[in-house]
Amino acid sequence: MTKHEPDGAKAAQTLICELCDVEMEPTPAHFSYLKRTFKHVVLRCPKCGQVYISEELAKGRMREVENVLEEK
Amino acid sequence: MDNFNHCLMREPPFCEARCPFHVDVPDFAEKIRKGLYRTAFKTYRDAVGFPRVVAEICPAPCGEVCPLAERGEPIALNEMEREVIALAGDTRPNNYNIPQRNRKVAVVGAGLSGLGCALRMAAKKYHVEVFERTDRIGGGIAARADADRLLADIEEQFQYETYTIHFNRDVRDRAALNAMGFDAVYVATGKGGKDFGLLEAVSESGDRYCLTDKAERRKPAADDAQNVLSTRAGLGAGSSEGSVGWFAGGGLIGNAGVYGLADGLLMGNVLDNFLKTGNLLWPKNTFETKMYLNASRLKAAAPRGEAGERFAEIELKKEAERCLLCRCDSCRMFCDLTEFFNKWPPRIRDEVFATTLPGTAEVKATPAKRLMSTCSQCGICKEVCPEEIDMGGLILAGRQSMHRQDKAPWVFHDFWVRDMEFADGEAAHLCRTPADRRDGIENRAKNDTPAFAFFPGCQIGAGDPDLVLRTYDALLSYEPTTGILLRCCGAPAEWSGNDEKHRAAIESIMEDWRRLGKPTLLAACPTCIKKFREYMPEVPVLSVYEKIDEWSDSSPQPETATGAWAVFDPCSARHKGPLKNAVRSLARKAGAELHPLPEQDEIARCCGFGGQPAIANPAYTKFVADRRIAESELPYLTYCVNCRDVFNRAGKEAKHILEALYPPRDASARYEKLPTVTERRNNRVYLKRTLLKTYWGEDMQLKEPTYDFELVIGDDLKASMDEQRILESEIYEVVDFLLRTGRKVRNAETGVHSGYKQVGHMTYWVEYREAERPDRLLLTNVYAHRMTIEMEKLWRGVRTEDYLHNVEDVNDEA
Repeated sequence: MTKHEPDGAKAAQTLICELCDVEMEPTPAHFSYLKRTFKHVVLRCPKCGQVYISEELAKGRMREVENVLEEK
Repeated sequence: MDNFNHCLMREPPFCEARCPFHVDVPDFAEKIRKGLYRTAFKTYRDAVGFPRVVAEICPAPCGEVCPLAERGEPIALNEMEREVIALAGDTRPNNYNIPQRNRKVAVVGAGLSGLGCALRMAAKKYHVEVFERTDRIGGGIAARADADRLLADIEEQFQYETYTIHFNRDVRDRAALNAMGFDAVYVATGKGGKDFGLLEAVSESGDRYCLTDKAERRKPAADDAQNVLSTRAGLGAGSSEGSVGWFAGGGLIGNAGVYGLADGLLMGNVLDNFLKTGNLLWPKNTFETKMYLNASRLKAAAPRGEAGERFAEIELKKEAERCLLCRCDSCRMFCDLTEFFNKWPPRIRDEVFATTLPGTAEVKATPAKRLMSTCSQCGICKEVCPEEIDMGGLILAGRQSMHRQDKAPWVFHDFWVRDMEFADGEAAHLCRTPADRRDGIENRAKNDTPAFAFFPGCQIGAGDPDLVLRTYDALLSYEPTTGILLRCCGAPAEWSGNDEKHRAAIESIMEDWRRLGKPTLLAACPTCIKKFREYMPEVPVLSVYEKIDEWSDSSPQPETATGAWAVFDPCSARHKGPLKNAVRSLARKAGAELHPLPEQDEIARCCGFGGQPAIANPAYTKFVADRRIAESELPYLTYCVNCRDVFNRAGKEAKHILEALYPPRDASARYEKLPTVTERRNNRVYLKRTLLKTYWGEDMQLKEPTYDFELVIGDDLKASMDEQRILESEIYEVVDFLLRTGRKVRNAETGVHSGYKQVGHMTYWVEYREAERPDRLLLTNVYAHRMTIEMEKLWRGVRTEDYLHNVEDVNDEA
C-alpha cells in the first residue's frame, strides 16, 4: 500500500461527496489490519475526509495485503 | 508432544535395515527408475566397498524381509545390483583429494573384512599396513572359480589408494605391532584365527572385541609440537595419545562373508573415531528397524511380471518400479493437510511451535499461521500413525494459544462464530418438549420427562428446515414425548481456538439439556455426537439413525432412495460402527443399492468442511473436496449435511440419509440450489417459527430491526454476496446508515450512490441506484474488506462528527 497512485482515479469518473457536495480528491488515508497500520492514497472528500474505495482496490491490492498480514 | 520425536519418517526400510551394508535401497531404486545407472551404481558401491564381490557372494537377506515376500515376490535386489554394475559403464572408485594423515593403522588379515578396513582407512589417507599370513589376498574368495574377476574388482577399488601389504607375515602378538608405532589395529584373521586376546575383551563402555594397549614408543615426530598447529593436532588425538586401539571383526567374531566385509567397512568409522577422540567404541552393525508400512501400500503394489531369459535393463527398471520404496507415510497417505502443504509431522510441530511463541512477526517467523487454521480437526493423523502422533491436537492447542495471545487472524473463524451465535440466539434457538404445551416447562410433571430429545444440529435446519420438520414428525410418531433442541454443538467456537467461548457454549448446552429433563439426545450430525462425547460425557447421546432404524423395524419404510449409491462416511463417524451400520440399514430399507468407497476402507476422511478452513484456505477446501469426489462416480449418500453441501456445491450428486428417508411430499420442493448465507439464517428462523406454531400453538415474536426502505437485489448479486459470505441484514444496516447520515458518494456520470460502514470486524461497501419509488433502492454491487479505515473522523486535526448518533449536528456543520 505504498504506491501513491490513487486507485479508481484513473477511471474517468467524477465522485462527489454527498455530504459536502464537493469532488473527491486523491489523498492519503490510514488503514489498519491485525495490529498493523499503513497509509495509502485513495479518493477522499477534501472537506469532511470521507474516503472512497473501489471494488477493484478492495478485491485486488487490498486483499493481497490482507493475505500477507494474515500470515504474519 | 514427545511422540513427535518418534516419527518414523526417517526409519530405514526393512531391506536397508537387514542389509549388512545398509544400502540405501529407495535411493538405489529411484535412480534406476530414472535410468541413472551410474549414480545408482555409486549408491551401491559406496555402501558395499567391492561391488562385484558383494553382488556375487551376498545371500541377499533383504529378500526375506521385503514386504512383497509375503506374496512370494520379493524385490530381486541381487539381480538388480548385477545389472546395474553391467550398465554403469564406469565403475572406478572415487578419488578423494585430501591430505595424507600421519597416524598409522595396521590390519591383520587380508581377507574381505581386512581389505574393507584397509580400503576405508586408506581412502581417509591414513598410513595403512596389512599383515597377511599367506601369500595372497581375498581370504575365502581366492579359492573360488571366479576369483580372478573378483580380485580384479578389489584391485580396481583400491586403484587410487596407497597401502603396504606384508605377505607371509604372521604377527606374533600385540607387543609386536605396538612396538612398530601403530595407533590402531584391526584384527580380521577369520574364523578360528588368532584373536590377540580380543575375543575376551570388553571396553569400559561395554563394547566387546576391543581394547587399548599403552604404546611402547615415543610420540611420532610430527606430533612434537613446534607451533600452535601441531599442538592442536596433538590435542585432537585426545586420550589416545600414547595408546594403541585394538579391534576385532569379521569371521573371527562370527561375522562371515559379507557380514565380515561390512565389519571391515564399519572400521573406517570405528578406527577414525578412536584416532580422533581416543574413545574405545565398537558399536556393532544392527539390523533393526521400526519401519511401519501401511497395509494399503502393499495392496496397491504391482505383481512381478514374467521373468525373462536374462535380467536385462527392462526387467531392472520394472523391478525398480515394483519396489514399494518403503517408508512410514501413513499420515501423508491419509491426512490431506500434510499432503497439501507437503510437510511431515516433525516439521509441522516445529512450525506450530515457532508460530505460537510469544513475539511478533517482526522478530520471529510465523510459518504455520495459515496451516493451523487449515487443519480439518478430523483426528485421522493420530489414528493412522503407528506412534499415535497427534498433529490435530497440537494444531488445536496452537489455535488456542494464538487466540489467547490475540494473534489469530479473526477473519479465519469470525463468520462461523457469528453463525453459531445466531443459531444459539433468540431467533433460532429452541428447547422444548411436547409436555411443555400443557404445563409450561417449569410445571412439567416428573413423569412427563421425555426419554429422548431430537438434536438436529444447526446446519440441517439452515439448509433445509422442512427436512427437520419431517424428521421430527416421524420421531414423534414413534415416541410422542420426544423433545427438540435447536442449537449449535459449540464446534465452531472450539475450532476458532476461543476456549472461553467454547466453554460457555458447553455450559449453555448442559443447561438446555437439564431443562429438557436430561433426556437421551438423538443427534443427526456425527460431529455433534463427537463433540458431546468429548466435552459432555454425562449427556447420553445417540445418533438419530440408530433409533429410527430400531423403531422402523416394525413399520415398513417406503422405497424412497432407490438406485445405486456410494456411502460416504463423514470423518466424525470414524469408529462409530453402530452409527455406520444403522445408516446402511436405513438406506437399504429405503431401497438403496449401496457400494463402499474404494479408498475409504475403514478410515473415513473429511470432506473439507471440518475445522472450517474455507476462509483461511479456500484452495485447500477445493483440494480436499476434489479428492473425495474422485473416489467414486456414483452419487454419494451421506449423513453429515456439511459433506452433502460440499459435494453439491462442487457439482457432485449427494444426498443426506434423512432426505432419502423423508423426501418432500412434493418432489419438486427439493432445493434447486443451495440456500445463500442469508437464506440459511432465514431458514432457521422459519424452522423455529413453524415448530412453535405446529406443536405449541405459539406465534413467535421476534424483535427485528425495521427499515423504511426496501432493497431490490438481483439473483447474480445474491450469489456474489453468498460467495463473499455477506448477509443481507448487514447490507440493510449499511444502507440505513448511509441514508440517515447522508455519508455517501455519488458518481456524477452514472448516478450510482456508494458508501460503507464497518459492521463487526468487516467493512461493507454498497452501491445502489434510486428506483421509481422512493422507498425502493436497486442494489447494484456489494463488496467488503477486512482492513479498517482509520481516523477518518479525525480529519486535518479536527474531529469532524459522530455520524451515527448526531445526524442533525452533522448537517448543521456541513
